[in-house]
Amino acid sequence: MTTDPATHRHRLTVFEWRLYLVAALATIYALVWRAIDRPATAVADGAREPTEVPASPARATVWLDEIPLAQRPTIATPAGWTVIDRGASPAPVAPITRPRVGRAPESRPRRVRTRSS
Amino acid sequence: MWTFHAMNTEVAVAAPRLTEAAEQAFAREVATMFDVTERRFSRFRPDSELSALNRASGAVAVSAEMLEVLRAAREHVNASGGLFDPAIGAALIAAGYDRSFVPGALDRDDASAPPPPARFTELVIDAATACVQRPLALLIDLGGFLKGRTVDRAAAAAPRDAMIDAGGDAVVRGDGPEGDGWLVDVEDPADPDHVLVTLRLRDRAVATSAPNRRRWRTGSRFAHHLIDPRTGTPASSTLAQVTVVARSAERAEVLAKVAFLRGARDGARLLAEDLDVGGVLVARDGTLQVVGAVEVVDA
Repeated sequence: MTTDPATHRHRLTVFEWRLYLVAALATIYALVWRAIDRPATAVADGAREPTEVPASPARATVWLDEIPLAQRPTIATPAGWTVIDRGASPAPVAPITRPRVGRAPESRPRRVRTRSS
Repeated sequence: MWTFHAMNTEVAVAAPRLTEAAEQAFAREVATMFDVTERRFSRFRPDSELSALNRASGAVAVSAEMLEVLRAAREHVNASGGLFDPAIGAALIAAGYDRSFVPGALDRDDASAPPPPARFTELVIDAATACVQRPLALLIDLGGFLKGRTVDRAAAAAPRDAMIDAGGDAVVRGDGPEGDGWLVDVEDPADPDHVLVTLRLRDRAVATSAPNRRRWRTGSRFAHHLIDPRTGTPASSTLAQVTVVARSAERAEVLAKVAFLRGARDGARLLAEDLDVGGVLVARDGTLQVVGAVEVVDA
């Protein structure tokens, strides 16, 4: 029996398959890295035109009197609360200081002494 | 017994059947009640709900607590024919009582004219919407009335034997520390160191009206805090002091004021009308009159 070298197809070994796989993964990695890295490189180079940066973040609150009358929501306040003008300062609130409870002197009798107070 | 300072007076709390720790805890609970009430209803605190109501120029929504107090006050106003009237705030300010009382601090060289008369019945109280509207000249002062109500609330939370004494507005519950009732010394308005008479009470409240303590100089005369709603000026009465014993401190407080304004004869008649009520009336000439349901143990 004879073998024709011209018609013989080379079969890849397991080692060769691994080499091809590593090369393919490296190519994909390089392409992805290039795509991601491009904008950062541009900023770092100072090539980008300066853009306007907002002076403050978007406002989360708005004064009621800044909203047109027709668009103002109805505010339901709890009992005892009122909506005031923002120009009016609320009355200062005194710090909470609970009354200090102390023992009465032993000499004080446990009886009532009436008086107008 | 435990004490604390609230509503510009000393409050004493005793519960003789409790342990010391439990009695102290109860006293703290009472102190909190007074503090919360004073924060809402004081006319001297700019941040109180009452001050906001007294500043308001239109209808304002009020808290459930304020609504309840105003409605209770209105009942007393109606029952007393207007002699009890919390719409005396402007009259008190005109008389010089424009800040929390400290002896000597209100003295002044001039006297203001009384303000236009204001009646509590002019206050519009809409219970359905919890809104209140007052005439601009009407300023509310809840003073002793509120103190009496607070004492009653504290007494409702008290153990079987207890005493809550807010500067003479007091409630006693049970049989007292010795088991034979609580003793109540009625002070002599002419001499605070002297006791005129001692009463023995069980499950009763007591309150006193007299012009001898909260008074100040206006020019060459003296003014005091017992305003006559009919004149808008400090009352002139034939009585020097009225002490009333009743089921609640709120009622005792109102009756003491009204009896003081009505004078010795009509005041005694008023207290005698109710079998549950008693009192000790001291006329300006020093005459002592004991009326109705009170037990005198020492005179």
